[in-house]
Amino acid sequence: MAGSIYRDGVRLVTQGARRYPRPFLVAMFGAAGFALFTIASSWSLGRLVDRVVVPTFDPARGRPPWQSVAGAVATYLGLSIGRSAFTVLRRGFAAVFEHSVSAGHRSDVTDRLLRQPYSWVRRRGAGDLLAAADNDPEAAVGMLPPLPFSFGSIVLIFSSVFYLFAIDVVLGATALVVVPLLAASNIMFVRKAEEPAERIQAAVADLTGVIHETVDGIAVVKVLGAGPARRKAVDVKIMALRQAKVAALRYQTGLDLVLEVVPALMIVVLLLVGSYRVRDGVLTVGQVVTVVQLFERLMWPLRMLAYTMEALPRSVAGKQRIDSLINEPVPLALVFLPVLAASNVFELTNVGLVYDDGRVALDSVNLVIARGSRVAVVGSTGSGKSTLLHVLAGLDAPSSGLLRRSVDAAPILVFQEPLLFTGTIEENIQFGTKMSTTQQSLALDRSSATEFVSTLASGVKTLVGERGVTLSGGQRQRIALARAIARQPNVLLLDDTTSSLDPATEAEVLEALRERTVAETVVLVAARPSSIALADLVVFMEDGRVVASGSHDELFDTVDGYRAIVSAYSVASDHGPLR
Amino acid sequence: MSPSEPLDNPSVLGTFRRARLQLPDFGKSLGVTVCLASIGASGRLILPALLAKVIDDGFDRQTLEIARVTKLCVIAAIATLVSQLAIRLAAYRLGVWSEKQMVTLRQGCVDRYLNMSLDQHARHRRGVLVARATTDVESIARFFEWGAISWLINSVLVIVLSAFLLIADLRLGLVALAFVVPVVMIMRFVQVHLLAAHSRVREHVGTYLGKASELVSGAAVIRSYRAESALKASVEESIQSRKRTAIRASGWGAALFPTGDLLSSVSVVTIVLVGISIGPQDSLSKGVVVAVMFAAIRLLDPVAEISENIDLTQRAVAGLARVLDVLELPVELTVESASEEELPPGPLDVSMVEVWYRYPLRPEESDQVDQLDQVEQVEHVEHVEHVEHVEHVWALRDISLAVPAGTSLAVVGETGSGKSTLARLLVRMSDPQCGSVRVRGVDVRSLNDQSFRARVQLVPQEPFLFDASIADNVRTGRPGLADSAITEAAARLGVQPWLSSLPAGLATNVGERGAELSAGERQLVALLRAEVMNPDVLVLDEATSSVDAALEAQLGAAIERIGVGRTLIVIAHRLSTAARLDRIAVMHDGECVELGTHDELVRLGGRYSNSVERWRAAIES
Repeated sequence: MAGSIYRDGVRLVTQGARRYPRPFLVAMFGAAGFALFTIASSWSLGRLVDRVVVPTFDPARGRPPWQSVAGAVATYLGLSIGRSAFTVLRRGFAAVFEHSVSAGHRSDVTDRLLRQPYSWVRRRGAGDLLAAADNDPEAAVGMLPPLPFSFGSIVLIFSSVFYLFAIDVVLGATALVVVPLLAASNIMFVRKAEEPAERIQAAVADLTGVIHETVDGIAVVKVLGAGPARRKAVDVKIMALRQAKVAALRYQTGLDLVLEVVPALMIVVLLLVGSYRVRDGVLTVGQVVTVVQLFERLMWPLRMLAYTMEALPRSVAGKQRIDSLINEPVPLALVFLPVLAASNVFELTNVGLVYDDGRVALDSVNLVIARGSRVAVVGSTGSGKSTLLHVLAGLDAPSSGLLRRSVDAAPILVFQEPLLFTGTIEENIQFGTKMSTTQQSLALDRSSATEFVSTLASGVKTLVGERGVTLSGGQRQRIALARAIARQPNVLLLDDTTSSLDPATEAEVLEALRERTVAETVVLVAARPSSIALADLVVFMEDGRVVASGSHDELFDTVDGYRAIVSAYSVASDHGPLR
Repeated sequence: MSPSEPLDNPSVLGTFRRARLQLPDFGKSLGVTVCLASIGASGRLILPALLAKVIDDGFDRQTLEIARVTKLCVIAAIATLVSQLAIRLAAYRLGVWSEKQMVTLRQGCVDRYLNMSLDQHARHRRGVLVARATTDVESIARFFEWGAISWLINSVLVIVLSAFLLIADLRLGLVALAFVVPVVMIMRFVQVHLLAAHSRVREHVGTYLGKASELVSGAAVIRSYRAESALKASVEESIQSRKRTAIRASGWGAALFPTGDLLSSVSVVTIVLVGISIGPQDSLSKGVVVAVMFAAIRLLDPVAEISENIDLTQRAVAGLARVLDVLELPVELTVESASEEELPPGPLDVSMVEVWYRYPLRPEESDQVDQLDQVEQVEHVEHVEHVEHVEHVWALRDISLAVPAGTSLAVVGETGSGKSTLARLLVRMSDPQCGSVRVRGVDVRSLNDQSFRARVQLVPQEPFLFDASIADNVRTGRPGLADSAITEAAARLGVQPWLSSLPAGLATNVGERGAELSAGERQLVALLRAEVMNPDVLVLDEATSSVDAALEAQLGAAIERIGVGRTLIVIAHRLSTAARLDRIAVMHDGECVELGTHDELVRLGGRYSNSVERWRAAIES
């Protein structure tokens, strides 16, 4: 376990270093230079004392000549400047490295958010994905900023221990005892902290999910007065996160204690051992003093090393969550077999779709949609109309059967509940595609949206909300339709896209859809006689199956269920006032 | 936030002052922590002092006193242990304290989100709101995990060392401390820029998260329109600009440490030069000069350690400022401030009196909402003469209508005529800028919110479902409601056949936002959800527009059946529905232009009768 987390930590760093070698190497170079210059400047400080301060106050020697004062001062200042320069390199490029790596993670995650199929997004859930898009990359680079410094510290420590061995083997061995002590406590900590660290990252994702859902569904929460219940649900997650963090804190405190106490005690022990060596005549007093001062200077670097180690579990946990997301293979874009007859756009043979919970959404659907046709899909609520359109659009893959699609078909599906993005109406219609103003206004025209857009204060420059809250349902539907039409799709799939339009506007929109120039082929889920009237082929669905297909008149005469559904309106409207 | 502080430049002290107001326990139990940290910090100086003593007393003689050295070493060891224990205890206490504050901050954010009006919500990107309570709070927490204790200890160290310097030798001590002034000035200068830089980073974080959350919530649309590459370019751009700002912010931190380091070297040199120029007179000894030199270097350590985590610190302050921005958002529609006045049992009548309403403006950058909020508040003052100038933006204009208890009203009109807005106001999803919505003649703003919510329900056209089972969604407003009660409600509405057609029945998970159900099925769940509340006023905003025609007719009949005694308001785009209700209001361009029974309006020969004629013609064709 602990071994694997170190391996993961090393992999985290090497992966980053391989991806962004320049900032990594420059930062490490800066750190090493910083360490060496620190030692050198300690040495020159000693020289400053020996050659300048001591003679001045020694009546036997008298004031030193100005040349030697100037020389010692210049050396010391020069080395300080060098150290500063290396610090800039170390800090600056450590930051470049850290932010590059985290930007790389974000880039990878958002790439998957866009490339993975829709079903994957649904399965993963918003909280999980949003955490992976931000909090996990943040955590994953947590150990990177102190890393170069730690590297410098290791250089410092090693050179100090070498120096120690050069002076006295016994002192060197004493100092080395510290290494297994520190390593053991480190391993113990990392092993213990791994679990809470993972718990923290998961808790953040959970919390993200529940807050996201609360904010997303705020209208429902308000109207139902469900605020207190929601608050309680969020509180559970907040408390879980706190618990995980306090647990991690406990281990961190333990490690900090060991990492600070052990080196400090080591200095005392060195002094003690050193004094015995002085008594035995092996060492001089000056040597012991130098050693003690040198190791005292190591306390702070050791502390920074501890920071890196403490950040390790959480960084690894964050990185693992990112990896688990980006390492999921991206299925090849649904490959459609080409249609057998060139005159067809879609050919479905025994197509079925079963959801994870066992719900049968489509059941052996056999259907041929000819190029240039206008197809109406009719059926009761939950009969599989939307699913059929999703399958045609390639959003859901059939779980059985054969779906053939003509090679040139590029269908666009317009959803029943239109989703507009933050931005202007214009931006929503363009939606990432460059198009001319005429193309845009033509699309608005065909969606019968021109009139209402022109009444808006800023016209097509009007900002619409994240979910277009300032527009009415029917207005949003028309913008979404314009967004699709502006792309000049050859196949337009409309999922009851006119459900929120008043009859007059709906009639206008349907009239426009007759035009072959809007889209060669149109498949629409139709709920009303007016939209059925548009179709030259009506597909009637029940319980995920295509029960019948043909012209409206045929179905009306021969299929009871169909007749019941389409006549429901006329029946209702002929009722007159009930009350 | 106070208007004197521009959003982009939060000051550290100002931010802490704001935090104190929001966090009642901010200063609590910190005293002990500070004491412990002070003990620990002083302990850090005991070790070098004892070492110096060992070297002076024990070594600086001809005969080495091993016993004395050992004794001093034991004391040093004990001092080290005690001081480190104190420091770690302080750090632990600080960590626990900070987690407690983080809980308060997170809860505060969530409370604010729950209390904010829907208009306020509309002005914020969801991703940003989520980030405030998660990522931003995390950035504060991270500071308390790593940075805070070092600030505490190092501040104490600086004070103790300064005292030592002045006691050791006043002249040299003053020389050493003189260099602290430029260091502090530089730190302050850098810190201000660093904070501003990190504020900009937070802004970029918000933009990025807003885009990222659209990638998630808009997943289906993006795929359907094949907009992946365009959105990738846009989100990538925000990732890169976030990276650039973050690197720029770190640049300030990278420059800080070497500047302090250099100044400290200069100070050491100055001490040496001043020391030797004074020379061996005035009781100055080489021991004092060396001691002051080393103390001056040691004075740098705290500065260095602080500058190592100053990034973290400023990141935290910037994050805290953002979170506080949320906590300090003005409450437009106050739930808590509503009075205790409960609605009496029995049917309720609803009315609107001279209601004017318009949607709030949406700023380009949702992050800068706070300034807008202030502007809005000023504009909320009821200046009716102001109304004339901006007439076109009012979604509702001077609406007055009354729905007597137990009767039904249909609201019809073209899309965008204000029907849904009317529904929103009736259930108090927004409050009008002018005029009032009343229940039993009482302004809804002065009613107890819980009692109002329990009695007045809305079924929207595009209902939001939580990622839970159908049963849990239905009991959102009635936690603890038994499954049997839900089944009974389903039977009353006649949607039992649909429920039993699902393999898992009521336990069927609906997925995020109900994505596993069709739009029509989502509407059925929403209808059930409202029905189990047993409301006295039911507002249906095209609540069955997505179900099939046969089921819609059946639901319509069921709603009327169970609606006896209820006040029913139906936003309808189907005239067949409207014709069956007691009265009809015709909306046009934000105004209620016709109001009466079906027969009255048909006789009137206005908009309604025109529509009816067109509708009949359409059906017959």
